[in-house]
Amino acid sequence: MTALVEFRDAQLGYGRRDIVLRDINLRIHSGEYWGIVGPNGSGKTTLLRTLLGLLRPVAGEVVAQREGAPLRFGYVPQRETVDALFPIPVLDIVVMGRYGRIGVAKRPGKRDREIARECLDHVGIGNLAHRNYPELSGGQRQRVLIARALATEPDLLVLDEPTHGMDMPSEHGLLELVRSLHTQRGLTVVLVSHLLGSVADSTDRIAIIAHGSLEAGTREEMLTAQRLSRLYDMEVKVHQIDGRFAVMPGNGAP
Amino acid sequence: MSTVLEMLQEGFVQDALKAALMVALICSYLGVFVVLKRIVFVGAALSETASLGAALAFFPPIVTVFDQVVEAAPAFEPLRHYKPLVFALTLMLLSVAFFSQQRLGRRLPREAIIGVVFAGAIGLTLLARSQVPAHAEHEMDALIGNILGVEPLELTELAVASVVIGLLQIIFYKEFVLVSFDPEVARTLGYRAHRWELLWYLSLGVMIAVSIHVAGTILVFAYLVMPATAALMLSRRMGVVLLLAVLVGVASTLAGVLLSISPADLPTSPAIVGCMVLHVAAAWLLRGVIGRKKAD
Repeated sequence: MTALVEFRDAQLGYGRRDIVLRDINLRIHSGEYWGIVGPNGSGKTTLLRTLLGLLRPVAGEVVAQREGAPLRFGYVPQRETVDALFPIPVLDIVVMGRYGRIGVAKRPGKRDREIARECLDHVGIGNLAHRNYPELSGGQRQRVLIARALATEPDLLVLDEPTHGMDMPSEHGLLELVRSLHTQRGLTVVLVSHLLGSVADSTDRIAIIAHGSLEAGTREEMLTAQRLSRLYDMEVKVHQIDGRFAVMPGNGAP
Repeated sequence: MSTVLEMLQEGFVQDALKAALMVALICSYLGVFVVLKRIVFVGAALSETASLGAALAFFPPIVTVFDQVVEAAPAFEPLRHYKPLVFALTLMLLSVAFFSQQRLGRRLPREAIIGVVFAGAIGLTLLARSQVPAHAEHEMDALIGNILGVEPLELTELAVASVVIGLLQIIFYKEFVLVSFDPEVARTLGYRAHRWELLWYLSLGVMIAVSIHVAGTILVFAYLVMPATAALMLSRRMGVVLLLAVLVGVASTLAGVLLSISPADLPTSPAIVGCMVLHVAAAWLLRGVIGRKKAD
């Protein structure tokens, strides 16, 4: 099975003197749902930027392609990085997802607007199309950014800390939405979070970044008390309740 | 009234009006991006850098070097007429390349770096001017910002720059908005965001350099900030904001020039800036009224 993204013995960082992650090997196949987790400062952003092609690996190789063509990413950045000062209506922001297909110096057409509306409907905020982005709540803004990523008609949907700073109902609703995009549309998804709890129940495969390296596997392989205690340098307990994973800190050393 | 009409027939008033309207049109438009990109003080620093460039064109050691270069390579002789503009543009290009670096501000606050350029440019301009021989001082004053003294050559430079920059802004509107709003996503969509940023900064830099030449630093800086601020208080739609900013810039220019040739005999640039202040105040009051009506 050909991988959409493959990291082969990759050293990631900002030059040979500033290597953040070493010996990274990871294969992301079409139709998979990955969660990439790690504590703050562990190198998640470095991995993400390399995956998106914004950063070159210092050594090794990172290949991101489908049938020989460069991969089309639907990228959902952390919403704090998007400047909410710009007075741009929601629909126009979602249409931006089409720009890679429209080409330079050309205006979006009727079809691009239709696709943008469909994407807004998919994420459940079709009624907000003409509202201004700065007027929306955090959860609504996140859905706008997901709709924009969907408008690219991506090979791979990449979300960076999509639930950061959200209350529990908003977080649950958003993770359900991403899950349904994966199951109903067959989208390949990579969700990056610093909270293991955010990915434990929604993703199929998990990669954990710790100690400058990465361990990856299926959810069942990764979510064991022994492995998590070793990776997080603390005692971690894992419980399964009604088929769902609950990860919580224990009381002692690993 | 008849005095104003008579003055409007004067060639130098008509030229000043044309120049001010071109600066108003383009700088007010670019100003919306300047305010939204939160780089107001980059605009100020670029204005001062352009001013320094124009002043350096009269600085005796540089004049000597320039004369030697022209003597050695007569092909550069035509540049003699455009010397202040060439120097202003050169310093501007260096500043633009510097400010558009994405790494800028990683180790020090970006504001501190902008402040160093801003204060440094003002100080060095004063220093350069203090060394200019008395016979060149009047010429230099005219070249770094006296809108009523605009020369036909300067008017042509301004017209060319305004048309080129205006067209760039219209043709690449979509790209400039995208890289300003979300540069990282622009890169994942296949845009070379840094190059688009550089092109936008170049547009701003060239327009400032050419405008400083005829309008002076304070007026150009005011055009970059005040119309956009008034427009952003009145609308939350990008297209409307751009249109309102241009209208405020143009209306302030017309009112300011009329005030300066009326019996009130006000200095032109401060009169235009004063009209812009009134527009900002009116927009602020209007926004309060609209806000209260919405609340009711």
